[in-house]
Amino acid sequence: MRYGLLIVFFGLQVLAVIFSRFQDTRYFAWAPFDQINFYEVSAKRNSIELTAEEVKARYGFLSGRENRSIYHVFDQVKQLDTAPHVLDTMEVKVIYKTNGKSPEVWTFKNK
Amino acid sequence: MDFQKQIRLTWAVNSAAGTGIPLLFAARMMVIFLVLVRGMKHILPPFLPFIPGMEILRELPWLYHLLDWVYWISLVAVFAGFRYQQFSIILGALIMLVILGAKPQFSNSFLFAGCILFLIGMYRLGLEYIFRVQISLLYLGAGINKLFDPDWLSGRYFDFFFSEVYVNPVSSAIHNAFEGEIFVLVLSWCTILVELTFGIWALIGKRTVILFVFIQFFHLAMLIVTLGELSFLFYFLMSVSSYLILPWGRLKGLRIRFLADSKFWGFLKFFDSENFFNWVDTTKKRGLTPFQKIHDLFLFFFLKPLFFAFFVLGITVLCLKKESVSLSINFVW
Repeated sequence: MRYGLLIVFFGLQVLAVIFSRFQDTRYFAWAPFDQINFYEVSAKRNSIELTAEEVKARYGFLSGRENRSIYHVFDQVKQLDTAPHVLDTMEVKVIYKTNGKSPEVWTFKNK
Repeated sequence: MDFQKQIRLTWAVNSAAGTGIPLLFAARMMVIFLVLVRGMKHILPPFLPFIPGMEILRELPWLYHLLDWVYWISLVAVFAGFRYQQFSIILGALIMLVILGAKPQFSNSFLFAGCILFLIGMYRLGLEYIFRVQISLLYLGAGINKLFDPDWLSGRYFDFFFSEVYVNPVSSAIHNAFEGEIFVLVLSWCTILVELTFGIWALIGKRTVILFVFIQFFHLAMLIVTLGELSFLFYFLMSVSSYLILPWGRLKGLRIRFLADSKFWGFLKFFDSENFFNWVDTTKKRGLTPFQKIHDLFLFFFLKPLFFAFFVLGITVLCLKKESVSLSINFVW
């Protein structure tokens, strides 16, 4: 039982490291401080711009630094705005800069 | 079951498992990490979970009140040394539940703390390697990820790191002294090689004392270069977890030369009530040379969990204080 649990425990971590190679997110890949991203999020609900406070309240972040993949930010925005209970039309824009490269823009619309 | 035997209120090395691995010390340090360093006071309900459908648990607020109680009881029990292995498993499982239930809660350091607690609970005589495997997975994962990242391979990460993110007198001096692409390229590749080497070394499990010292140097170097801003949580975690891979069985009985008539040495000897070290009085001989003194003091401070805890906590608290100042400075694009 103990050995079985340990094999599953370590096996899952190995699989996570391997699978992360084929994904943009790096959640369980043991990849801290692989990137330095600075980002800023803005959003519109039914074409009306949300205030900074509203963005922060909705997504839990507004602007800042992400020391892992920037796709973690995108992933969480997507997951929140595509949830079945979200009836509004959401348009999200993330301006980000990875490792000092030129700023890039990621946009997402849930409908 | 004798209740007295269940509680180990000393910072002594846990000898219940017979190997001298300081499991209880590590478990207590993880409790300190969770409460004081990370400031984790509650078990939060799911929000943007990794496992679809976990949101439904939000409709059961009593469950999270209950889990909060379980969390705090487990913290107290582990710290008191009461059935600490069982409660460590509970703490580890709760951390994993919180992370699986909320992507915003995910952090590598938080997850690693959960893994170490879980492994402390799972440990039995003969399973010493489980901590090495965990450390190996962390470093191999980190090394492999960097190895496939173009910005690491080209040196861009460190170029940005030194020129814009961690600008301080130390990093500027390093950056200016070694101008040019070669420096950041060498540093990038060295980091990748060090992480992969640590990963393989931990797995092989030979000369773990040297590995432990190198891990200390590696994380301390990061803190020095960034003046305590980068990865101090991992410094704490790796210090504690790498402490578990030391060959404690062989280290027991190491010779410490001391002067019996010295108050200072008497004070240190007081903390070795379980006679972990072999204390050799050198008063009647030639006394102690400065090298011997430094060597034996180094051994004592690093191998006595209480003193090691003060060392690691001291550095972490310094970095935490520094971070609270840095956070008030906004980044300008």
